[in-house]
Amino acid sequence: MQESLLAYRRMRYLWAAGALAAAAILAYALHRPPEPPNGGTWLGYTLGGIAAALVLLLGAFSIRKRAYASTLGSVRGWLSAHVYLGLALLVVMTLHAGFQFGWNVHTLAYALACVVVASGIVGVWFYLRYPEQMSRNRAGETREQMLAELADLDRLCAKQAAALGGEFPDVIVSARDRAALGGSAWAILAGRDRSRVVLPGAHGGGHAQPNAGQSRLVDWLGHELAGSTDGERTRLIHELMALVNTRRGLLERLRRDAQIRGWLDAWLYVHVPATCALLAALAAHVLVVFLYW
Amino acid sequence: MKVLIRFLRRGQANAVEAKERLFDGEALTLGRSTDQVLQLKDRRVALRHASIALRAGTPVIASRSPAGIVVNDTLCRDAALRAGDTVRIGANVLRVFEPPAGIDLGFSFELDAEVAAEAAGLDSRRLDFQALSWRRAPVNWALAAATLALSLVIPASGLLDEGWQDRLRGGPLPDDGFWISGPLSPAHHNVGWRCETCHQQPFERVRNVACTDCHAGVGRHFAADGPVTGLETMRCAGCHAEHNEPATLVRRDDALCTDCHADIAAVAGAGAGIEDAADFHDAHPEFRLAAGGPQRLKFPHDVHLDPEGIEGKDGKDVVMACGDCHRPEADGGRMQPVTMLAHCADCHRLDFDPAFPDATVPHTDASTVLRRLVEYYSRSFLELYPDPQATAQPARLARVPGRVTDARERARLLQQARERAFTVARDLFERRSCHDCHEIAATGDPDDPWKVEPAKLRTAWMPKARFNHARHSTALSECGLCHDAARSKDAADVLMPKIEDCRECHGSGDWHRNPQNRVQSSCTMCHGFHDARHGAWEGAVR
Repeated sequence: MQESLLAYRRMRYLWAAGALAAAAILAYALHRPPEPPNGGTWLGYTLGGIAAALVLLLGAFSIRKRAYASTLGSVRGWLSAHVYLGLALLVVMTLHAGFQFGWNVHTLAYALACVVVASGIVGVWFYLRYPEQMSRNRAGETREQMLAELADLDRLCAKQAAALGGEFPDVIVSARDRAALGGSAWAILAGRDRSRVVLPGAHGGGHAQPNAGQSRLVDWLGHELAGSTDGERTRLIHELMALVNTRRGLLERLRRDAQIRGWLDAWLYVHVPATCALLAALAAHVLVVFLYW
Repeated sequence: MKVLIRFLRRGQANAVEAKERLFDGEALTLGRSTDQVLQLKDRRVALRHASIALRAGTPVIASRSPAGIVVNDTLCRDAALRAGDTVRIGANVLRVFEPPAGIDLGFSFELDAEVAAEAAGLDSRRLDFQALSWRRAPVNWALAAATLALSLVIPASGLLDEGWQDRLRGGPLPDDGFWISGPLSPAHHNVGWRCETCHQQPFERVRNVACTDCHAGVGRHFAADGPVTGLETMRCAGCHAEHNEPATLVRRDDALCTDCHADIAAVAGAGAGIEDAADFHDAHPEFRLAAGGPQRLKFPHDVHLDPEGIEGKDGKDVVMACGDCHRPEADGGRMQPVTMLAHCADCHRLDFDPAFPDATVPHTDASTVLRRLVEYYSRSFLELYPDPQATAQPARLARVPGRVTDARERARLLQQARERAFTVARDLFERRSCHDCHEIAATGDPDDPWKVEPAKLRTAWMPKARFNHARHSTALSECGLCHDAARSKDAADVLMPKIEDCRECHGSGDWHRNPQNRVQSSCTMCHGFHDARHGAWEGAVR
């Protein structure tokens, strides 16, 4: 997927978009209008028409990718064209504007288009970077499998803790209940481990303490292990530590998985709304230009 | 504050398992978040739902979320906790009991089993970014609608009503100023940011009347009966484009002229007598000087500019410079006209009688001069006629003033005066003074025998071109560079520069074609478009 997005059909859309941008730059360089270059010269109108057509074509990608029955090119081809023509749009519309900007509806449309293209570039970067990381992180498992694995580990931990008795069950339950995993869009994206644990006595006196990477819990277990004189108890604590450690790695992978998936979606929360605003601003721009001709 | 918390857990057959924990701290926080002292379960509970703290020695539970808490089956924001009270937060139940000595508060904490089971497992929803984020579709529509409203609908509403338009422009809402495609030229700021001054009809290009409403006197390019008719239908805004950056209201590119003038015959017909001009550098006709007859003046520049000097008014030699006679107009452009009174009279005095060097004739037509001479000598002969030979005062008076009463004597004196006047006039007109500079013609009339042909000095040799002497007055360009006056012997010499002289500094209007070390010189550097001498453009306005 990641290679073919940009290299689709020997980069035919890179060449097409590059040719379009180069032609626009050449025409702009050779064009010598009587007034400063602007959207109102013949070249300005031409570039504006091309840019508007590009915006509509790029927007049509969102329709094509949902039209599963359509045979109008492959979605992959459309995406490849979407990426390269989006970059060409940046060139064409800048030349259309003749580098004249101001606090007005015209520059609003331009700025929104820049936001859309910039977020699109971020999206492409994510799509080139993250899928491989994601599959490496998942190691062939699905998220549901990982969650089921986590539930199993929780059960095993609780069983081990019950066997140990004393403070162990409470500590393990608090570590389970206070393990932070997602919960909000921002928490997913940030990917920070805000887990906590309540440890007894001198280790925390019943207060919840940060437990990022389950490190406080492991520390406490280590302390209990060091203080253990009973061979059987030592073995049990050892096994519990191993379980906690496995659980820690699993939590980390789940958090990372959610984070990657989150970012793969998050850029669209800029790209698509900005596109909608752009289409409105573009309509206003075109109408207004002729309203006050 | 010390709080004893008794965790109750119901096992099989409703057997209750209790576990106690002592909290010692400022405030006991309750909520769903992992950082709360008492972590509550149940989705209905807020992340930071409530806290318990001492107020004047009494433990008080206070809500930290809008949801409130239920104390003894009453929903409230805060409540003092006494033994026997029951607090419910979602499915979590707190029952207050009498605390042991030294403890501020004691309560049991229990969770509904069903809720506990539900909350125990981890929900994959917690990791689903899309499920946890806002829904995109409503936001998309809202953004599109807001953009359309702010950039189009609200500003356009001002077009419907003038009063509303004014209020829009005075208020915080976007008005049609948001539609401006570039800054208004400073020259048009007096329009007062009222777009409709020029944009009079929606969806119609700015009409010429919008321009001529203010620019009433703007001249035509050529006379109304000129060779071309298409020009009248041109739009003002075709050349004068507003809202550009940098602000350039006036076209200055060569195409403005050369579109027609590169092959003017194709536009104006071969008979129009206009030569093609496409580029000052190599496709411009030789300068054509204004037509006109001879100047009728004897003026050798070389004599006046003799570096050795020329005899001045006191008989001493003076060295003259161009600027002694040729002074630019106030705008630095063309030269002021040279006049006898201002520039010549100091040296070329019009005295006529060596005995009276202060007496002069006026610089006017010959008949008047002759009449003034006759009058002068008549008065002198009849009244005071000092003996020209007298060398000592008092002068011997030939007559006593007002005493010549005899008619014959008067007639004789007047005849003598007239003869004297004619002798002096002949000297002026045929030998010196007038004759020095002017061409004198004989009329054949014995009573008025001379006629001075008036000099015709031209100030504008190239009336269709602009030239500014002040802008050309640098150390590199003294007068002689363009005007070869020092060697001119005759006033008829035309001392205007040729196009080659200009081309030594001025090049093409097209920087691609402009040779190095030449000033890029477009048509409009010298030529204008509108010329009020051809009448006002108004007649051609559509």
